[in-house]
Amino acid sequence: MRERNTSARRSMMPSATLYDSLALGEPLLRPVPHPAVDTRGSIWFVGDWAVDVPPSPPRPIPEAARLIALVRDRTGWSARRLAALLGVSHSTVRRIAGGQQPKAAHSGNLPLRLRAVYDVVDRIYLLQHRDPSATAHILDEVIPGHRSAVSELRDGNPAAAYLAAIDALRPPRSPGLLTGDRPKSAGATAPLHE
Amino acid sequence: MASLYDEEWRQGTIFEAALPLDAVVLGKASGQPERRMSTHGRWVLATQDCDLDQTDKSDTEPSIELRPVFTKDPPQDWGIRSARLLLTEQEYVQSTSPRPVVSAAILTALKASGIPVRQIDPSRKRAYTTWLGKRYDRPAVPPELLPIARKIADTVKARRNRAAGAKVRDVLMQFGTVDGQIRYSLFAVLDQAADEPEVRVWLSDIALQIPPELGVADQIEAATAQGISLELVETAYSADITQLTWRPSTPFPDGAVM
Repeated sequence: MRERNTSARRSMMPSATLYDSLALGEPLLRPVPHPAVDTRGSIWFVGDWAVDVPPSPPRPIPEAARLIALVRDRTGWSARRLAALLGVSHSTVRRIAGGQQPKAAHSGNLPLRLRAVYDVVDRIYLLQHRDPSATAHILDEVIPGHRSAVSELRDGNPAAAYLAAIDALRPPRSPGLLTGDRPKSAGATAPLHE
Repeated sequence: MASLYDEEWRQGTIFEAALPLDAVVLGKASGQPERRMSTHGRWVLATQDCDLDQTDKSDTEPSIELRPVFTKDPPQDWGIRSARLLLTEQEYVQSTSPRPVVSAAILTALKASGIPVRQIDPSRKRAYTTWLGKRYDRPAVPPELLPIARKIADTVKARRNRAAGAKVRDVLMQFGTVDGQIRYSLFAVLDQAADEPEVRVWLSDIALQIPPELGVADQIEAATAQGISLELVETAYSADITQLTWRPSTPFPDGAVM
């Protein structure tokens, strides 16, 4: 930190010119420029004034911005692609991703739609072994006679979207009686309802 | 020769009479089995109607099973999977209570003496019959699956009132593990095959309510009882919507009423 003779200067410093006159001799014709704010030390200086700046707590990332980042991270979708799915402009997605709060007048229930999209994407991402490319692929997959998960998400049907993605992941159900491939194991000792 | 059934004794008949309610416990002082005796005043018949029909009203052999009826702190719902089952608004039976076996002649004599005897509502009788049968076949899961199984069961219960939920007879669950994470399958048992698409979306909505850290659904199916294999029924866990609160507009499950 720079060495300063702050105590002597502060008491006589109505302006930079007067300060220079009293402390250093002949007045200068113009004020001596000081660094506006010196933040290099533990105590900040504004001009020659030590100021105590309270620590600013880190601000949490807005929920909507966090969800946009997560959805894009898990799918590799561009802001434009996500915006089309959400029914808003890509500039709106970028603004929100930058930390602005969604405006209801512009984006309606965007936070809810965003949460619904995330809920589906997150699960498919886990089912696809955290592979964004594979996640995006399954969400776009169209089974003949059905709609893709993305189409369902665009229409605001997260449950149908999840179902479409799951169906795309599994081989078609074979005809005949419905069977399961995960028989229960031994050790069922915890009562489910009591 | 008249039977108890002829005398209008039924499974679910409630009567009031002071009878012994004994159990066997380990004596604290003696360290030996001891009889713990008490007296109870309200009872419900547990013996099936077919057995009541086969039992002569004057039979002196103890063959009729009773359950003590309690009224203190009744349960809040009508579930047939619970440890306690409501017979009426205020009266219930308790799974772990002692249960005496009496002779037909006792019931006949008590009735002749003018004790209060009444029948419960037919719907409650059916629930009681099912409850008795389920006492030895209650759904249980391995402890490590309990959080997710219970969460699914609770969510099914919470979403039962939706239109699609009313079309579901039961929900079966199967669990597996992939990369250390739980994966699960949900199967809905339907009455009508035409409801399959709607009910699958209903199940999918339930799956979206389950936190992924508990597990992720990767199979959702629905079929009528005729379309579901016995193997699936036997190897899956039941989310057991039959434990839900009975609603007057919905049919009750069939019990072993004979």
